[in-house]
Amino acid sequence: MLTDLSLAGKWLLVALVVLAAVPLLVALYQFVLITLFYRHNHYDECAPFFPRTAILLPAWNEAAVIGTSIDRLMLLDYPMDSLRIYVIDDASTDATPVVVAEKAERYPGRVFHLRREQGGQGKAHTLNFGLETVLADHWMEALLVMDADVIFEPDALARMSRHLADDSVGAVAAYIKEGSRPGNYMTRFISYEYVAAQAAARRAQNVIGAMACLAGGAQLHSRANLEAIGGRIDTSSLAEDTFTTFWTQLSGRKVIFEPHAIVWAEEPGSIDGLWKQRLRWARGNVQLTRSFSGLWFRRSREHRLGSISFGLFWFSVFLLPAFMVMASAALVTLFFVDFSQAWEAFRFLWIINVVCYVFITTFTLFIDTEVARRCWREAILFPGVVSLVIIAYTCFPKGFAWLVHHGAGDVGFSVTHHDVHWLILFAFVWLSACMLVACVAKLLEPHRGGRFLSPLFVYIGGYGPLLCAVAFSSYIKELRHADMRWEKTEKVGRGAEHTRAMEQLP
Amino acid sequence: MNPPEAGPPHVPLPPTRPLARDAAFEEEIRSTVAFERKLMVRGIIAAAIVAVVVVVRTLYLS
Repeated sequence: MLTDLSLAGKWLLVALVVLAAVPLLVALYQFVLITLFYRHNHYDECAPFFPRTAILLPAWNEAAVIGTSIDRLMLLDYPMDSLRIYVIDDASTDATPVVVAEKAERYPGRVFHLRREQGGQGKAHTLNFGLETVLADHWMEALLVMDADVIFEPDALARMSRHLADDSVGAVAAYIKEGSRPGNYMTRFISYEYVAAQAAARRAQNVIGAMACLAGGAQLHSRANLEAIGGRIDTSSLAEDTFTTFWTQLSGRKVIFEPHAIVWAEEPGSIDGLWKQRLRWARGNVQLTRSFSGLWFRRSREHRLGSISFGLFWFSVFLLPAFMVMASAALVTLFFVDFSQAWEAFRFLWIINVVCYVFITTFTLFIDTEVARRCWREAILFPGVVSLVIIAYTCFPKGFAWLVHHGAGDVGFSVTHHDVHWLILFAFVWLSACMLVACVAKLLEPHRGGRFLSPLFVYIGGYGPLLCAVAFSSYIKELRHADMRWEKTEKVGRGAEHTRAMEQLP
Repeated sequence: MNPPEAGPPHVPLPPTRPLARDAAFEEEIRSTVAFERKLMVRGIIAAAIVAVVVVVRTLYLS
């Protein structure tokens, strides 16, 4: 009998609910660390430094975006004699070779076209093809790896390279902002997410001295670092940039995030596009967690990847979907076994949730006010409308109950105590069911009415749960050893159009 | 174009050295750190907003 569950069993269920608060508290800790960045940063060790930089631009059918990216690179506040752009054309079948040839003619000695006759193996293979060439030439002192759609602010590269004046720095990452214009609900969610996941989280990672990931779209390496990590990018996983970040730190060099080096990228505008991109990232993270299994929570003199703080950061994101499902299952079981205990555990979890939500959302909006002006609705609705209602209920249960009672009464319904009981059960289930709503949004998208319904479902279910659903899917794919296909994110030049309009490029 | 012909001829070049931090650079770093200090203050404001929510909720429930 369920009600016969032993005391130890009940406490175990309560512990599972409390455990779900850990990722929230870790996120809170991460955001508190950001306030220390003004003291714990790398700016004292910086100096004006303009190493001869080779830019690797992997491209597969990027005709829509690559021309603008190259033009923008030519406008960098950086000595032009110290820049060379290598477009690694991964056997494109569109006009990419023509666009690159045109740019090579326009910028002689600055733009080079490297073509792979057989492509489609993924970004890491493409980059390795280019790396072979640039490492063979001693001209290159630093290497900038970027994506074909990424648009650099004129001062971005100089702001990155100043950190390489310190020999102990192996690589520097820029702050990638979502640049699609006109955007849609999805790109606005991503814009906000990037402030939280990059501008905020990576500042905190700078403070603890361990970086989770150099953004693949804009990462600058010293030549010494590339040689130290073997002169090649890992091809065994779907997260080549995260592997490179880890290898750099394991070889004893620092990785710095430079929040003032801003670059713009075109991100997916649909759930399908986002799902493909994030599934690749999430599967890469599963592969990386396994590959570096001996590293976690083990201190080292050479690097900080084994620190407790970094381990908590990594695993609280990595295991968040599992925590949500476990907490939900525990609450539902407790609901039938010991309602009052279930209610107390639920309130505890959601009060922590409220504190984290208010602090993180407010602080994230303060960090990047340009994004805040554009995407404040998506910031507020990040957890989804239903979760916001639960948050409101957790904060003000009496007022909420009054509102429900009178609101229902006004439209001719009466809400009984029994109904409230079932609503509470719904709230318990919602912790994991929100991920299913995200899946429904994905399923609806290609169908008739999907253009209206799928955003509606994302706003109701939440963008955060959508990301958790992708992570959950990545666990399953990895457990089933699913094929590692490189699903390229489609770029159509929305970022380039925005930049051209903003900067009045020729 | 294939990799061997991709770059200009190999010419041995001296390594590039970092420049000295001049007044303009110092000013840039100062303004960057000032922005980060401002963020710290904004973080404290965000924490104060949370405190207000917690206090209002506590008063409301008492």
